[in-house]
Amino acid sequence: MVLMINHSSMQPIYEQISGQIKDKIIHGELIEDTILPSVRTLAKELRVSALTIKKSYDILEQEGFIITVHGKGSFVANANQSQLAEEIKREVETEFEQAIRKGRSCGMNDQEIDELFHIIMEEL
Amino acid sequence: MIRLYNVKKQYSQFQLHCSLEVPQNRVTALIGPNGAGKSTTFKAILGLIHVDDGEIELFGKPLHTLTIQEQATLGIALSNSCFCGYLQIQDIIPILAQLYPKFQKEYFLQQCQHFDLPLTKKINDFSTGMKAKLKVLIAISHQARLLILDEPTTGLDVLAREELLDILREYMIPGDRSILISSHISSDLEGFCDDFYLIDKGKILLHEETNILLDNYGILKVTDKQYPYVNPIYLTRKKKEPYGYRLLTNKKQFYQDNSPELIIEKCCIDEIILMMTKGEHI
Amino acid sequence: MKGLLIKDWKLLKNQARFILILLAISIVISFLGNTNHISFMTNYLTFIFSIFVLSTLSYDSYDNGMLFLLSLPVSRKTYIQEKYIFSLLLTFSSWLFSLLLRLLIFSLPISWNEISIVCLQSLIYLILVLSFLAYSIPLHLKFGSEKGRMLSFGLLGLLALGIFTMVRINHWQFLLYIFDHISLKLLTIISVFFCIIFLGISYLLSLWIMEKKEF
Repeated sequence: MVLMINHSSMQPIYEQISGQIKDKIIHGELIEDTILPSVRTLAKELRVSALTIKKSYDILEQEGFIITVHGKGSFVANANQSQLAEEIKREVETEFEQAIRKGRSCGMNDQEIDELFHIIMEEL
Repeated sequence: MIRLYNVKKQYSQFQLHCSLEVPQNRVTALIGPNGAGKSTTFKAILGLIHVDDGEIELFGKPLHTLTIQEQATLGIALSNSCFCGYLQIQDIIPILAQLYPKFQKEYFLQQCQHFDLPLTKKINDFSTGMKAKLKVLIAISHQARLLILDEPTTGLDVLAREELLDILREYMIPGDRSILISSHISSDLEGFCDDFYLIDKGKILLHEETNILLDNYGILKVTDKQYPYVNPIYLTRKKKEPYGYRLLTNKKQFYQDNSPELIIEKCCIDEIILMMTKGEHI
Repeated sequence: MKGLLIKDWKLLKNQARFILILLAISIVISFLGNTNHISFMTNYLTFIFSIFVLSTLSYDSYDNGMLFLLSLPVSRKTYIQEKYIFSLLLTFSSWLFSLLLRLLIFSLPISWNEISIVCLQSLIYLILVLSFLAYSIPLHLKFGSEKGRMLSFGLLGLLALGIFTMVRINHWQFLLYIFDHISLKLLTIISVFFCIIFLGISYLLSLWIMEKKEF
């Protein structure tokens, strides 16, 4: 499992990690029942604190992407991943809608909203 | 694993007053400027000095009730002290084997070779870097449950520091061990330690998990004009600069969301130390 | 404690060259010289070995070494115990060696009387050396090696002065009185007894100093 961390990014490290793992699961790179590296092992590989890795794993478990068995390790959860991915896409869609509505109600036109959107994308 | 509660020690020019805790499977860093009290804290933990007040526990037991066997599960490296300099490494091997029942001779010899530590040279004649490597090596060669390392990377070049940290990362993998480590070089510790205690003038100023320090803490750079309009709710320290003010916040997300016109930077641990010790309170 | 003994033994071995030369010289002088030279040499040998423990104390505290030593799995009590055991071992073995050397050089066969005189002289010397150790070790622990050395030798000097003055003021007669009325055997036993007590007090004092010490 290859993960890359951008230390200069404003995005929290744990988010970067959980995001990348989520991505791999959604796109099938990590299939069901694959065992993930232990918290300490991954911490060693990525040169970050173990608590950061634990936080990522906790988030992934909360969102249903992985299952942690005490004493055995963390495993990629079974199917319905595409469903979960759909779920997340739906959430993002809703939030976009809200932001666009807000922009329009403040008097921004569509072009301004679009420009703002691209600026933020670049920043992150 | 380690617990200091309300520990107080009075010296003529300095007073130590701190509490800290290192649970199992944790790497905790103790950082601070020179003379802040790091070494004093370590000495208190190891019983090298007597404290005026407070409780010190190791492995859940008061310090003075620790048995010799339990003491042998501690791996210790101190910053300014090492084995008698008139001895050679080959001399100290039987000594270590005798003192530590779980001493791993082959591993020790292997690592000595790997680090180019000569077996037949007086320790006094070692360079600073070699002594530093030897000290850490001694601490990790007997399957200790708890490592207490006072500035183990001082005197080492970048490569050696990374190597040492990798060895320590490897050491933590079993999951039933802990490390208390101090260093001047916070950048090393950022990528290794789970939480940080910042000490200055004998007092603990800050205790925070690494990911919070790196992800949530930030530096705001504002002009004199902007300063009065900045919401002080999440600001902890300020420092006057030629351009205006340098502000430390523990929730940079708040300012990113609400004051996007301000310059907001990620900060590294060194900057946090600087601001917490030299900056003014808000 | 065994670990500490090994450490001090290694330190001794490091001085091996010096010691071997000393041994060689003492043997050579013993063969070539007269009885005075022999006894001086053997006494000197015993003395050097017995105070080696003071050197180990100095080595231990060199360059903050005590911080490291006490962080090892040894108690302060064990540290002191080891020092006393080490010094007693060294003192007795060098004393026995010296005694044998003297007896052998004294061209055999020799009469029992001569043997007993030599043994008695050696025993008195042993008691003196052990007494010197007894008060030196706590001094070194309390005041550090440099001051400790000055103090212990200074004290020795003072004692010598004291005895010299006593002789001058003719208290010699008091001692002669003792020698006349108490058998030599009894005197020896009393001296040995006092020596043991003295060492015991020294040990307890050293323990107390060590427990209180801060690094």
